[in-house]
Amino acid sequence: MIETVLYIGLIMILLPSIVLMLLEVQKNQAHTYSRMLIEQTSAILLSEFENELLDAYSIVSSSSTLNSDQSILVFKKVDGGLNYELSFETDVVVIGDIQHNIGRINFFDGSNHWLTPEQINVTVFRIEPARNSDGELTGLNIELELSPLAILSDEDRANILNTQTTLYLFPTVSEQ
Amino acid sequence: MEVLIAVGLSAFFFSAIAGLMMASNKSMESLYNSQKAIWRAQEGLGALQSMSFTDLSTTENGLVTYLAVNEGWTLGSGIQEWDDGQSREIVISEVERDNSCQIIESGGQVDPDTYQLESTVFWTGPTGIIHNRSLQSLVVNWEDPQGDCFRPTDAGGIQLDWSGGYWGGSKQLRGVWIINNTSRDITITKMTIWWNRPAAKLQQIFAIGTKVWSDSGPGTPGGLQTSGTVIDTLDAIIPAGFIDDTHKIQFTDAMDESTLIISFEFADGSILITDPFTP
Repeated sequence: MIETVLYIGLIMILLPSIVLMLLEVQKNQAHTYSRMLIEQTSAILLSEFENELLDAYSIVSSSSTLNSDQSILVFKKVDGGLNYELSFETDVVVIGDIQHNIGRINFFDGSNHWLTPEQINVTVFRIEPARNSDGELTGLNIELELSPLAILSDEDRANILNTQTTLYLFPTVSEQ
Repeated sequence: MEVLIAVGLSAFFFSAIAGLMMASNKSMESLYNSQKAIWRAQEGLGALQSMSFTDLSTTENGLVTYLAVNEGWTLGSGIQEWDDGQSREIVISEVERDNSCQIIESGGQVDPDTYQLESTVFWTGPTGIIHNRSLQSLVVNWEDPQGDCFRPTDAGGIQLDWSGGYWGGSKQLRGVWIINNTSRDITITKMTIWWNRPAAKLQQIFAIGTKVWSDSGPGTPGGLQTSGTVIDTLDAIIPAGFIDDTHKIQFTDAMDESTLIISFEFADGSILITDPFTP
């Protein structure tokens, strides 16, 4: 009889801690998933940018929006061919009955493809020209900021990934 | 006794879960660090590759800075550091090549047209271990190579324009332009001409304003020549950047409506041949 009372007492003491810990695990899981998704997305984006610019024939600066946090890069893969686009776009997504207005990166190659998933908000997609001392366009600086859908806490804020890089253009790539 | 065991087991169980959670958090932090480091290392390489070759020089601690006013990167000295604890080191070093222009570790000639680039990003992990991500590449002075490995052949540096070719007095081919696009002198050593009027013979060749061959000399062989004969001319130097429109190639007979092909051999043995053309 006394043991039963002791067990109940112990469970009563431990139960709140267990519940709190399970809640913490659940929250951590959500953050972990968000971080992994952002990390994967940034890796895929870097690879995608490198691959597409490797095939570039010319950068159409006159149709591009550079030096903006919502940049659009227009380029061609053959002379006089299709205008390919890497662009910042806004999109409305509904997740868990909640509507979110988010930024996404789109790739146009004759049809549109989202390069970022619905669960990630692109807040900065900035492209700047990099020129050599002759003023020729020889590279592109790319800044990217990816964040979770909703920033509710400091932990969410810690999940924001802001990074930048420079991609070199082949000498054969011209600027229009 | 049972209660104590239960409490002990619980403590062990919960501390294990807490440990796993902390390890998971550190692992996630490491993921971001690694990804940022790759982007930043790539930025270092891309910045160097986007600069003019003449703006690069060997360094053990290079620092690249983007100047928005010039829309370009510049190379300085120092270590790039970020607020999140990462830092970037850039090394530019000379490259040695053997006689076949293959890159070798040591014992070769320093190639004045190539640099080895290395961009490394460092950061200290939660356990105090220093991590790094390093990328390497080569950059080549493709625009104005100074050494032999990337120097274009003589033929590659010469441009021929026969579109304005015409017959002067029916027997003299004129209006063939020869353009030296390089910053060095290039020498013509031999010429071969083919034409489709067998009765006509080759009598004289003027190149770069000088008679480099004729049936009575200079050059060999002597005498009037038939189509396809290799003519060993006097060396005719085409100065760097020179555009010559003074070629005169003389035949014995009227050549109107004839179709020709001209081959030039240069001092390095390279050959440049025109398409068939009818002046």
